[in-house]
Amino acid sequence: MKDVTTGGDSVPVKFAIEGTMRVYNYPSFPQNMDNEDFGRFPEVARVGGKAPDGELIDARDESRVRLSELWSGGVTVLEFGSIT
Amino acid sequence: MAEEFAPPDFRFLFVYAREAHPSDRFPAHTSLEGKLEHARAMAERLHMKRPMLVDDLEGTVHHAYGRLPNMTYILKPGGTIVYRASWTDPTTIRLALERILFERDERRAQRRITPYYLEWQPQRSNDRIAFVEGLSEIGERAVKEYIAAVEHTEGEASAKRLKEWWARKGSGGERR
Repeated sequence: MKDVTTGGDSVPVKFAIEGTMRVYNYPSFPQNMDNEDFGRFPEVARVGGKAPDGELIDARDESRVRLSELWSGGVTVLEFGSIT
Repeated sequence: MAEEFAPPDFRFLFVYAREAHPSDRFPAHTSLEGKLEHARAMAERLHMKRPMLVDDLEGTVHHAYGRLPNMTYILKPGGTIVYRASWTDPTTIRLALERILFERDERRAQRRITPYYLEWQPQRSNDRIAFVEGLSEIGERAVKEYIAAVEHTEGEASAKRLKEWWARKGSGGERR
């Protein structure tokens, strides 16, 4: 697998020419659809445990929020996705 | 559902992760600004009222929660995970939220409740023709790459119907 490091913003981003799920922002849909993340999912952040905290950016005003601030107020339904 | 199970008791949040099917109109993110644009486009296109929260370019939060394209978690106040699913399924999310309401009512009535553990592996609808119909709204490249991936991973027989569908539909270029 070849890597290409591109510039862009201040954070360098690696792309894999062949494209695999292991490269986070893959430029093309990976040809091998066997996503090992599905197999690992049962072991990640388990029920009964504490959810991982982290910082996110509110798309409305670009303010930064921590998940722990958001989940303190009530039951939180956290859905992940993208437009594609 | 977000309107039905409303604040302050419930809060629905959307976390924008990497592009699952990069297209010409919505390519893989190379900048945070670009990722924010995609997130805003999604919120507008789907008339989303939920807060749209964007992960960093490296997908730090996405990684921590399992890195799947369409997963959902339900957290109790304080951050305890009470539900997690590898696929966003409104039916089981509703079931979980109604169960949480039951628990709240029991506590308020001072009736004793105790936790138990449940594991469940339901099946979801996975009509691939319907899926690629939706992908065609994203762009031709997304459709072609998905069909090629099905063929590469599962073989020619699995991709045959999809290829026939695509041939009938015609490659009319990128759709909106």
